[in-house]
Amino acid sequence: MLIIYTYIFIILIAILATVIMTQRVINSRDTAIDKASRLKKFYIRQVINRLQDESRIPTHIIAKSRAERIALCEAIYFVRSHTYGIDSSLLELTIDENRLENLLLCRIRYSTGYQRAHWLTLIGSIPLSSKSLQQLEQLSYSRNHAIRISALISLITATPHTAIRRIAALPYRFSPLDISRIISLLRRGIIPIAYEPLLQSGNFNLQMLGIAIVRNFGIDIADKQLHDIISSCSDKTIVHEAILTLSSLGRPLGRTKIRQRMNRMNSDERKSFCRYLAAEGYSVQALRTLFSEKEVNYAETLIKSYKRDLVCRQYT
Amino acid sequence: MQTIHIIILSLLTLAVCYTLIRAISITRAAAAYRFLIANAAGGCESLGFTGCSIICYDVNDIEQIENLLQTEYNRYEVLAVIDSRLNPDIFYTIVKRYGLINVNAIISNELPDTHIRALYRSRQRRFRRLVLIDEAHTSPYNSLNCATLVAAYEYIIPLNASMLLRERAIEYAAILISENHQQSIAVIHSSADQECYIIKREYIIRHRGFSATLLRNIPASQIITTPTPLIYSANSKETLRYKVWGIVCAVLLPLIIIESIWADGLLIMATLLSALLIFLLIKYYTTAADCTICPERAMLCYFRRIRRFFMVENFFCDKIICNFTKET
Repeated sequence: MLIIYTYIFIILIAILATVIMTQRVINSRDTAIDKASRLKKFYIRQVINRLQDESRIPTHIIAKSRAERIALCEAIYFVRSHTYGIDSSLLELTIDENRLENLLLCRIRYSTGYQRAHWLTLIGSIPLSSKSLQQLEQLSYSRNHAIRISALISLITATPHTAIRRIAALPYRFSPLDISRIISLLRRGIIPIAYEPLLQSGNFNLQMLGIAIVRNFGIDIADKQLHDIISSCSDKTIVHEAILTLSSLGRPLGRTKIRQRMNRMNSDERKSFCRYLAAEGYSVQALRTLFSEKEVNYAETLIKSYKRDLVCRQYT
Repeated sequence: MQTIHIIILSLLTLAVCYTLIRAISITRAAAAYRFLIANAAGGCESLGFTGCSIICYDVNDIEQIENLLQTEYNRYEVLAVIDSRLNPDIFYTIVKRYGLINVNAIISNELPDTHIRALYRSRQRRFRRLVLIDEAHTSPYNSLNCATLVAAYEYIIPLNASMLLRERAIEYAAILISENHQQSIAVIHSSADQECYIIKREYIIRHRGFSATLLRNIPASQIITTPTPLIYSANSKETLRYKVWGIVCAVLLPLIIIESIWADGLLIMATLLSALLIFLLIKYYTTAADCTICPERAMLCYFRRIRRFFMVENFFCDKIICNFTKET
């Protein structure tokens, strides 16, 4: 019995010690996160100052330790992803001096999963050598979706003129998040792509990207191309996307081809689309041309509660 | 005696392995969450046209509404369901705070027995995502059904009092839905800290509204389970802490007493070590996932899941009741 109590006592002491140790580890991790965040802010300020410096005299941003170099990489990525059309050649000296490319390549080589995708995203914000491009090329065919898309986006950023060729050659389909990531590159002026050739191509990814460009940049004049897609395309996803894009642009939807396509949708899809149009501000009359009386009645319940009532009625 | 040893040791090993797998999956999911959310931040449109309606029933604090309205996702709305006769204070506080007006909409008749008195929306554009529903309260299910009728988007997230959304949780849910848009997703289940369900509106309508049996027999192809926490509670942790330690003591003490009578010190040592390991793993994954997650709540969630595993009749059908009534 005495032995049992001794065991229990030892175990309780061990539990206490481990809990204290764990608490310390967690606290030290919090401190490390705070430190990294402070470092990142410091380098963001330095990078912005460097970019705003009109004298063009090279100033040195020095990162000594590995943590500082990582913070500098994140700062450059942060600045590039929040600015429009910056001259990245101003940062070349900083990137070379601190050997950031080597650091990121090393990190990419020795990490896996989402961590690798994160490093791949960061490497896209610095100018790349041909050796790095080769490695990214291989990773753009990885089995992990996050890795291959991050590698592709970095490749596109580094060599914008190859963007369409690379996207057309992909053996997999883009998800909405992937398209959103490419659109954010377009918004920042990193890759200039014309939407017309994309809409006319027969490739799924290019067409989806073209439609997303039309929607995001509010290109009303693409009306005809979108109608062509709706009438001729055999892929249901692309047609669905084109119809939703037309409606988000506020274009009329009463054409026969659109009605025919709508008739092929199942009841859930039609109802969801009906709700979407109501939220987009289409009138009951406009919906009558596309939907059955029952569906229109349902949409009317939503439309009635939207803004037109708010304008007309006063709170009593 | 040997058999008892083997059974207890096997159970302990199973419990530790289960916690270890859970810790690994939650930590990995947390990394995925951080990566995807950081990359979704650049976009300003909804992902795959996915929209989410938050149903907030049993509201007793305006701060909850304030917090839910902070979400920046494009296709998103907050539906607050309150009975103006039962809770006039909170009801009129919300009406005054957001400048709401009665819009007296026609209510769709997709679900039976819903008692909506009136609908309120704001004239101010910045609060256009808020809809206040005045309902004659009969049950939590009725509140949820009323809000489902009014919801404009495809996916519904029911939240009860004091539940808040984790930062960018809607974006993450939209990523999950849009990446699986080929298969029709009826339910997204987050199993980490607080159990959370995101349910497709059409699925609710097809099953005649919210009920105890709503989540029974969903085909595996229509459900996505994510270990990423999407919601958290703003409630005090003190009472939870006592509850957790109460459960731990209630399980461990009898076990140790039985072991000290029937077995030897080594088994007691193994039991305590397993308990310690489970505690540390839960502590680790709650801190790794997000600072908003409460370890005590995660432990309670963990205990509930283990209990549910052994209670076959409660295995799936009562999940929704747990989520809706546990806190009230």
